[in-house]
Amino acid sequence: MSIQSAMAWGGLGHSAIAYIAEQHLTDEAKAKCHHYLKHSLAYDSSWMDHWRNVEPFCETSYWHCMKGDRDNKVIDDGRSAPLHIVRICKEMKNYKRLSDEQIAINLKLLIHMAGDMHCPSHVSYPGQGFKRPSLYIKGRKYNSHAVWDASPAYLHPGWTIVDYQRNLDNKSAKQIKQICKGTPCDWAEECILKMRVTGYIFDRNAEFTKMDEATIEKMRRLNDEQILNAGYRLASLLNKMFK
Amino acid sequence: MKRFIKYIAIVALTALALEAAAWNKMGHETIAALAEQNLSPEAKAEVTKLLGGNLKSGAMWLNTLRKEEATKHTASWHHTHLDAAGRSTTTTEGDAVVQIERCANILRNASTHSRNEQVEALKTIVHLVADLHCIHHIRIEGEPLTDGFRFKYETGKKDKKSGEKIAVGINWSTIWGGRMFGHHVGFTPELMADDMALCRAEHKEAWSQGTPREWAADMGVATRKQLEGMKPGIVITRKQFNLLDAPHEDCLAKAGWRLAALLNNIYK
Repeated sequence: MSIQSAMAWGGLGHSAIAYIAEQHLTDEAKAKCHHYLKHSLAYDSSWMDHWRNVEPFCETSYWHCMKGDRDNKVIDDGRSAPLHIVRICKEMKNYKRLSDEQIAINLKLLIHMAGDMHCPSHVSYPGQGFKRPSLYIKGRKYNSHAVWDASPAYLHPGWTIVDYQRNLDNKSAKQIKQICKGTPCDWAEECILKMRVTGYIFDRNAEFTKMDEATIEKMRRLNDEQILNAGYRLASLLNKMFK
Repeated sequence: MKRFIKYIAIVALTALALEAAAWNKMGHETIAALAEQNLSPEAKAEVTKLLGGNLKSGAMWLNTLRKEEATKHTASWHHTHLDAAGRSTTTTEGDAVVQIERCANILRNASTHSRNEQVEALKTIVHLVADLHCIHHIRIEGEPLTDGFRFKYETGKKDKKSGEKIAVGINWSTIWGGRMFGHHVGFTPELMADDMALCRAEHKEAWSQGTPREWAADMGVATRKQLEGMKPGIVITRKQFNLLDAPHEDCLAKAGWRLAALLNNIYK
């Protein structure tokens, strides 16, 4: 749990999102991603966390979150994950002009940020502070950030990324199309709006093991929906990029 | 007295940590899964017949023997011993290569061995070909660091009060036993095997050639490369730590493909 809680969505959430995305890539996009990454999307999904304190990537350390304004619009403070996703997608329109190394880095950033922008603890908005409660799991305190970073592991104990995909990835083509409609900024707006309610799912300093099933189910639904949406949307970005 | 007991406890725990098993479960099962994907139909049929399942099902068996009184002598089988020139020349029982050769002979001469002997030989091979590719299980004459040591790596974070970089201690054995799997969470051994096959695809043919003794020498070269500049207590940067992913991948891919090559050769 300690490793999980150290990163956004934990390594498990990011791997699950990337693995779901990989199942929805076109053959061409999959081949290109494998060619440049030399790995699956899931394998490199936490690269951005592991290299955030290493030059020349220290700057990316600030790109894991997003802030919304009172109307839930993304604030452009130069650090916002969805706006960096937009920038990278634009840069990748001419990816053949970039070096293989730069393409690989762009893909790793994109894979990770698509996950982060859907992570409840990576979204902030005006007046949010007091609404972000901590949680206890078997007596150990998880602050408001760690609650959602670690949620993929404690809400589905023992699940691998294959379990995540098998159990969640069941939307129809029409539903997936609807989920992927719009731009990363539209998705961000939807996430910010959705996160405004997360503070009310469980009581401040609640003990997870003593929580009622209905509350846990609400948490699980949010966790699962965000992971699934992130996976589908990541695939749609990559499919557009490499068509 | 209390201080003395504490000291003894620390020494004992450190020794225990340095003698830790080679690959963790994920490492052994990834190697077995990669080998499984590359077995010939003949080898696959024999494996299924003997194990009643896949290679993965027998991958951890040898580790259970070292804990039993009657078979604790097998603990010495998990290491590979190289001479100062980096060659595998030993014929002593306590060596992975020697045991792999012994077990390969049992499988090659199956008609003169019981089914149980064959099953145990196969499980031993599956485990020891993996151990042979675990860097901290390679012992090189005149290279005391191959016995294990502790060092530190920078986490990338800074102490909030002092502003100094935070470094944490870790055993050489922990790194090579599978610590790097922590960078890739939630994988099944099969998925990890797929990734190893993908990332080292261009080396598959070359790495599948040779004999266990040649593989041991190859791992001696790899071990010496990783020990360059290392010493007990040294602090490595976060970048150096992250870059250990690549040799870790080399070891897994080599072990998986070579295990398949050996079994395919035995059952050709």
